[in-house]
Amino acid sequence: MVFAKKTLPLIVCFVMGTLVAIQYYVPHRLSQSFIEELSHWEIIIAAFAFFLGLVSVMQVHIGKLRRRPPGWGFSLFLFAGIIIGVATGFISRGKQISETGAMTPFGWMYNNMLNPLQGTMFCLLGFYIVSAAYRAFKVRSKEAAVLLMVAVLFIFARVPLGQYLWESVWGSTLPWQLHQIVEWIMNTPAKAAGRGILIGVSLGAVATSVKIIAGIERQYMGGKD
Amino acid sequence: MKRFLEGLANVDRRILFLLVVVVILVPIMHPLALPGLKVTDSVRGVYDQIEKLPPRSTIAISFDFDPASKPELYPMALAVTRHAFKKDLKVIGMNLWITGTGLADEILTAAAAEHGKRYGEDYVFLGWQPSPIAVITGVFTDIYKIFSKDQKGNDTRALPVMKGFRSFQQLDYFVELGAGSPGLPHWVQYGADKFKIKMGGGCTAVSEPGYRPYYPVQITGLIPAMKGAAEYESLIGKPDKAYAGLDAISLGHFLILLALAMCNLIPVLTRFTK
Amino acid sequence: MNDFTMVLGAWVATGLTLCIFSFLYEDNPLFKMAEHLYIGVTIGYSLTSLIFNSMGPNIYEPLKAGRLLPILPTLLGLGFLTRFFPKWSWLSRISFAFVMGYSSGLTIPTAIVSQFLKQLEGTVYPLLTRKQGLLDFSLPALGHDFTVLVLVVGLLSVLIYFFFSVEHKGPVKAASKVGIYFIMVYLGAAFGTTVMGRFSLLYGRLFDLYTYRGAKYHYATPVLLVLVVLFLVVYDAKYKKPADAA
Repeated sequence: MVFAKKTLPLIVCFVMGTLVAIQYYVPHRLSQSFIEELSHWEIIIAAFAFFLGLVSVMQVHIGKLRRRPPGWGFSLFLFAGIIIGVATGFISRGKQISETGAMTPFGWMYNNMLNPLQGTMFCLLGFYIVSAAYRAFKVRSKEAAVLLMVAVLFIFARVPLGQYLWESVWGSTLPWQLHQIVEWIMNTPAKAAGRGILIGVSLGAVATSVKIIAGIERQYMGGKD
Repeated sequence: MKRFLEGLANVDRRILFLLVVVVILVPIMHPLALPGLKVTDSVRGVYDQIEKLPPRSTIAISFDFDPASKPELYPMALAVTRHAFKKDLKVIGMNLWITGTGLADEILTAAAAEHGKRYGEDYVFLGWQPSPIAVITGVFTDIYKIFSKDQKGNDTRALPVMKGFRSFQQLDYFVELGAGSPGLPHWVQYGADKFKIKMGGGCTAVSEPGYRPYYPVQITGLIPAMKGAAEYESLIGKPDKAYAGLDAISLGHFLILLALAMCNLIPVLTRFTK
Repeated sequence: MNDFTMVLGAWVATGLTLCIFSFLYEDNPLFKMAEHLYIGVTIGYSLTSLIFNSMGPNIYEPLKAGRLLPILPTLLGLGFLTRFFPKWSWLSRISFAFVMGYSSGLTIPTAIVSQFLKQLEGTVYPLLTRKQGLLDFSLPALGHDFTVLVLVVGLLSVLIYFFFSVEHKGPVKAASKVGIYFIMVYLGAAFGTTVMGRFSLLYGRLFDLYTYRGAKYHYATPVLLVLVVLFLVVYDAKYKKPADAA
């Protein structure tokens, strides 16, 4: 039993990882068929991962309804949302636009509930970025001054009003236009730093992947048994 | 004076919020049509590739965003799709973000209706499947293994638009319009680089600096956010929502500049004022 | 879509938008209600899409047609759910092992190519502009060479900054200091672009609210705005403790 619980998953991971990595370098038809089939399997398996999250959320909110801590009533809205989403979805058989081109109940729910809720939730940051700029963006070092200068340049130059004002002042007396200067900064010093970060991240990802395949990193195994 | 400055420094955040609403709302109520928009090379990099494709070439667009970034990506997605239909290209649409399926469907349907394109013959919407890495790998090897049915439930293989098409390796161009992860880096890493197909991208403003390293070696162009979308709209000669939105964004940007100036000037002025 | 569903949609969308905006004043039950509803409809939408667009065509229909191959990955997928049963939870390890092996195996070669080798190629190729085999000293060529030089210096200095295996002193310290400035330029550009992103999102929501203000939508925005403000006033008066007010 210890073999099935501890060793078998490591073998599965090692074999899978090694075969998938090797197939990248093998342009044979068999290799292609192997990754095709595996990708199909992966999609089927991944679908069930959704239910892991679903059950976890349900457990938390059913627990709240049972224990009734302060604010427990809001969990009812969560369940109401799930019921609305599932009910409209099943009525419309998962389609948002019907064969005739009309909007289905599922499409209505998407456009008038999910769309505004998600959009508004994320747009709140627009308010807080102004508040943060007003209170917290104080220059206290040379590095912060560079950051602020570049930020100000981008904020000014990346909108038509900024470009229009720049042209009104400078006309064509400068060899470069404002948008060309900003593009150069984005494509050269900013890109250099972005590449440095990307290379660092990629080396980290490769190292972690090797550790997972080799069985050194086994957090995904969960508990102790 | 000092008290005034201190009061200004500690102004209630809700007053700032109200100011933000006013600044964004005024251009919506009274469009300003501010001049000064310039088309950048990175946006032209996507436009030129689509522009030079012969009619009935096949292009795929992955709409990898959801309502959270709709104002940034919806206009550019619509502009790119309109451009593809205007050029009489065959369009394969799909998405990697489950809650973005409705938006992608809406964009394709709207752009197709404008150009009189027929579903199944001129375009198809494949929809969404879980596990983005597997989806990308799969569509580049055998698309029918991943999308045996399209979003409408049709047999994908039987659609005329898919005739003779087996995988994304046969694409003439690929465009990814994404709001984050999974998105452009995944398509570059698991698809375009390995199978050597030409691709372009569009992204949110937040993602732009992180995606620049891929341009121009791995992607032919990058459409950044609402500004990029407005540039694209002007390139195809159909100014729309992004173009109109730039008025509000312009004023918003100047509000931020004012906030940054106040943040740094108020402490200095307070120090020198009795 | 008939007029009623259109108007109802406008009222629902406006109401939910204003409920979330009410958080800007303070945390309150309207926001919490909308927040929970958001999570709920997202789950409901995702679940339905998953069932109809993925599990249906990939599992149910092949099995119905007598093709048994999806059984194996389905069993592996079901393995995930054993996590909720302590006695059988070890079975989920095999499912996780499959997924981790697959994604790790794909990541190794692709990350090396896309995020390492191609990045180096993009930085140094071509290092110097040539014309007919000789170095080109025209102004555009020199401009290109200067850009490449900045890219190379920037990339190396940023990598040195992130390289902690060597003590940062002497030339290494100087190089890493240069790297910090490149990172600051990157972060400055990121902040500048982020501002645009946030305002774009705000524009989208306010545009919708403005659209729904008119007679066509039965004045959804002004009516609901007044109701939300009234609620906040009453809520403030009734439930706000003196400590909160201070």
